[in-house]
Amino acid sequence: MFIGTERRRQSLKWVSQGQATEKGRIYQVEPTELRGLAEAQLNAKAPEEPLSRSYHETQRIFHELEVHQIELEMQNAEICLARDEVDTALEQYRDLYDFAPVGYLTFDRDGAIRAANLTGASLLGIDRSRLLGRHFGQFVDDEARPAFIQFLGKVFSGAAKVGCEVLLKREKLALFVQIEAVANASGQLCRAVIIDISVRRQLEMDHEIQHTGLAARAAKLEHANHELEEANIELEAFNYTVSHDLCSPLTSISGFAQILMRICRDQLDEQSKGHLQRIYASTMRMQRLIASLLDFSRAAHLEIHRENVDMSELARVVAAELGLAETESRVTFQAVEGITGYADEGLCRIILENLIGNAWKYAANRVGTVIEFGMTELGGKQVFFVCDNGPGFDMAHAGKLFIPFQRISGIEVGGHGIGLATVKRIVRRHGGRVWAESSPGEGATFFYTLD
Amino acid sequence: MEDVLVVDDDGMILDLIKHILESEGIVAHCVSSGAEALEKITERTFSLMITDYNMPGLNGLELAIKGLEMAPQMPIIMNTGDLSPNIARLAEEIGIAKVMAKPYLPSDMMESIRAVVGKRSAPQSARPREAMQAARRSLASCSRQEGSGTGW
Repeated sequence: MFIGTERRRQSLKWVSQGQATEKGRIYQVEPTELRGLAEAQLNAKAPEEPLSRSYHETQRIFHELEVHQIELEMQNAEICLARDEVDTALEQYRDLYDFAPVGYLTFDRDGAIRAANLTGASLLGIDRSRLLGRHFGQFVDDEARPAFIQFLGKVFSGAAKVGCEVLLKREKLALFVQIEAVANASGQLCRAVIIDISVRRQLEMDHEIQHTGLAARAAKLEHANHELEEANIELEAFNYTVSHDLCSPLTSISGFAQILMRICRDQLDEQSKGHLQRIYASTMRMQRLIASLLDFSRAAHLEIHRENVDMSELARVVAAELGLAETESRVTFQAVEGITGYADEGLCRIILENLIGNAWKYAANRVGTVIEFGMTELGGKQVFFVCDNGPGFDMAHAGKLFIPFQRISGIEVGGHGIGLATVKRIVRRHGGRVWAESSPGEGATFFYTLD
Repeated sequence: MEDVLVVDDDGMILDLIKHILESEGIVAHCVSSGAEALEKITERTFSLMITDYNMPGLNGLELAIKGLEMAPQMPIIMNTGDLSPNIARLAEEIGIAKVMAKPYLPSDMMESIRAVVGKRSAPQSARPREAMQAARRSLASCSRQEGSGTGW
């Protein structure tokens, strides 16, 4: 062992206070007491025959004894120094052991606690002095005890580190702890590290509850969606059936009204003829409503057959059918030439019938109204539009535009409140979108894409 | 014009068409199902059959296929409350002369009758067997997709 000069001096000084060793143990005693002990040991030895030695011989032996004494004192000093260092290390270890943020426990094979640090005792909620000798199983929740016993068996059956998580019973608050233990070389004791994981477990449980709650909400939402889908299907079927089944009685009413008008024309007075005319006009209005409802239904179910469509020509045909091409029409219709698209022609016709028809309906009584069909580009996509210079509408109501049976001022005059909803359905079936831009008095533009 | 066979499960419509035809001096034979209509076709010839599309049992398209097999020269007018492109295409493939959307006016019906029967007075060849078979397959496939045969 290397000892520095200063330390050696200190140790020698310390030795001078008097120390004695016996079988490796160091006694710290007063010098006089030490002398007494040494003499006692010497006297205990069997007396030797006195030897007659020469002066020189005696001088040599005396010198040897003195040297030997100094050697012993030096060895003793080194031993004391080593013990000092061990004491320091032990103190340091004890502090680290006691004040570690985790609990350290030593169990025997039965699970009895043989040693514990302060944190370990604190985790168990009991003073350390009352802890030693008690079985750790006493502190484990009843339900978790079998798992702990199994864990202890595993620890003592091998040299590997084993872990488990148990709930500890305590007076105030139960704690979830994680235990990791390894048996020592003798296999009679094991050292365990105990970590409080209550916060983590609480977070896990919260997360699980949250997750379960979310899953329950998702399931509820899915169920609601499913019900909504079914309700929609039923509504569609109802819409279709009612619309379809109304056609036959309507045919009878309008047909017999026309026949009555023809065969009884001469017998009827003007008032009766007027009544018949109203019946006929009403059936025509109802027919248009039914046609709109059927279009709305078809827009949801018809298979899309895309083809190259001459949109400009289609717009002109639709406008002509509305009478916009006639010379006496107050409305001017313009379609930009050469606009084509890849879409379902039949459904595109319904879009144009609704958009051009809508613009025409509220502009019919205004002189100088211009309705235009055209195309622009947005983000590399074709955007078709129908615009007019009519009265327009307040954009605050734009959200209602495409909802079935929602009417806003200036839109769908005389309509059934379903035309724009049908347009939206068709556009969405094509994977596109539809929107409107307008302001009161400045006309309106309806844009749509057919992706 | 010879007698006209009228098929519809709605008695009011039968009355209406009967009235329209009789006011023009045409005799109408009214039945309320496809099966009854086929029976009539086996008994005698008709210058025209006017049928509804949506009926219990045979629908208008199925009746037309069977009717044309028995009487290839008989023109057919079919009425429907739902004139969808699919039905219009199938009707054309089968060889139905005219499909009319309900509601229609008596005047429109008479106009269609005159047009169809007038066309028939010109020489008309029976539809090739292959075309009929193709139409039959289309109809079968369409019925499978649409369940009851009441198509969109």
